[in-house]
Amino acid sequence: MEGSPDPRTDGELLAATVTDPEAFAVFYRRHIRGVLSFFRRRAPSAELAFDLTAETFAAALEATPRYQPRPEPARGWLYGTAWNKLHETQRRGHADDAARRALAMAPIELTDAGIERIEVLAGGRVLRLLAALPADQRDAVRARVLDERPYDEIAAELRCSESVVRKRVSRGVQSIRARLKEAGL
Amino acid sequence: VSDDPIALLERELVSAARRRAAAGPVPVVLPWPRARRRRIRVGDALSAAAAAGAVIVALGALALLGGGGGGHPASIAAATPRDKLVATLAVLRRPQTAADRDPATLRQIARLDASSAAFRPDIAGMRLAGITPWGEKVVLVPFAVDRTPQLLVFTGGPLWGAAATSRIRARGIMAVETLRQPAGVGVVLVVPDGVARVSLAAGAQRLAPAAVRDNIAVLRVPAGAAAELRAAARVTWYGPGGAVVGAFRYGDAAQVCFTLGSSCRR
Repeated sequence: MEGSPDPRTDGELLAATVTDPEAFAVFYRRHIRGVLSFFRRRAPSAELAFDLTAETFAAALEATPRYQPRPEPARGWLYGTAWNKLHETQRRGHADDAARRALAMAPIELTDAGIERIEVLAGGRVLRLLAALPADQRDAVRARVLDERPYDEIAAELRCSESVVRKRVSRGVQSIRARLKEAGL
Repeated sequence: VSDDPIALLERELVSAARRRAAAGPVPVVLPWPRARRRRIRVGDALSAAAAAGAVIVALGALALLGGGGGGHPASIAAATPRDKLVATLAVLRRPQTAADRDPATLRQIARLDASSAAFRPDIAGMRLAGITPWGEKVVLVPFAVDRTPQLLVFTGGPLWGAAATSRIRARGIMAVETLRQPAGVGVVLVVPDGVARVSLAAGAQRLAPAAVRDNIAVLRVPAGAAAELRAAARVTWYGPGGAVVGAFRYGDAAQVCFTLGSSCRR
């Protein structure tokens, strides 16, 4: 599910979708891993992460007739939609399926193997290993690697020096790598 | 049932795209709020004038009867979703000035506008609500996504908050930002009309209530409380008379930010 060799930009693919439905498949394959990981980091389960991912892409497809290509990447537009879906879900307490219903899309039943596939693609195993780290390492890795925050900011928040934060991040990442290696991944 | 939901979803999406392509072009919807504009005829203008007169008379009667409730415009029935948003926040009802069109905010809006066909900023509605003690402008920008009006609060930093009208009435908007000099956390809260002061508690820290001006309150939280604040801040709203008019936990789930990249932080 790596990037497609299609030379068109995301914006061009979205604009072409109205007359060329396969263009949306290319767009989907480019971003499915990123969007799924985005939701898996924030949702308590792989099922909910997949549900939100499906609704986000459906909403994007629904909006393509109004999409106009611009010089800026369309990735931000997709993730803006993803944020909105996440926010709506947190507010309502459940995932919406309005876009999928509007498009008359059939529900997708998840099997255990399907959930495992989602976990692999979204990095769910890494998240579980992260959760198992000691609290100081987990907080440092989460702040630095997932939230991409600068070391000085993390150090101020955790009330320690930058070098301590760097050590915690390094040890945490090494620990996760070692466990993935043990599991043959 | 296939074991690959990723492939199944792709198939469903492409099938839906095919159905839409076969159905023909979809009518283009004019951007909000321009879609609501229409040509005004003499008869319509007279009707509008008569209706406005009736509203003025009704408001006058309310004032005479003491039913104004200290002027809480949010209680006035609004005709459209956008009107409801404007009726919720007095700062959106004052005339726009040149200072309200903050150039830095306009540049950020342009980036968002360019990347999203669904994002409809209301530039005529944007207002400079205040400047924080640490020197950042707080700019409120009404916008619509899929024709649902919401409000964006730009704090000048990397974090922006956004919410729809019902959310603002229930909990307002909280934008949180890490400050460097001096280290701490800056908090900007947007509150509906009728809230005069706001207090905030995060972990063991309870801050003194901050006064609300132009629908915003600004607080600075010590650096040590940043994690607690992001996880579960407790917010209390006080009315003009000092009575508690709202108290709730404002956790991580309540925040939302828009990003053009992957560096959006909560």
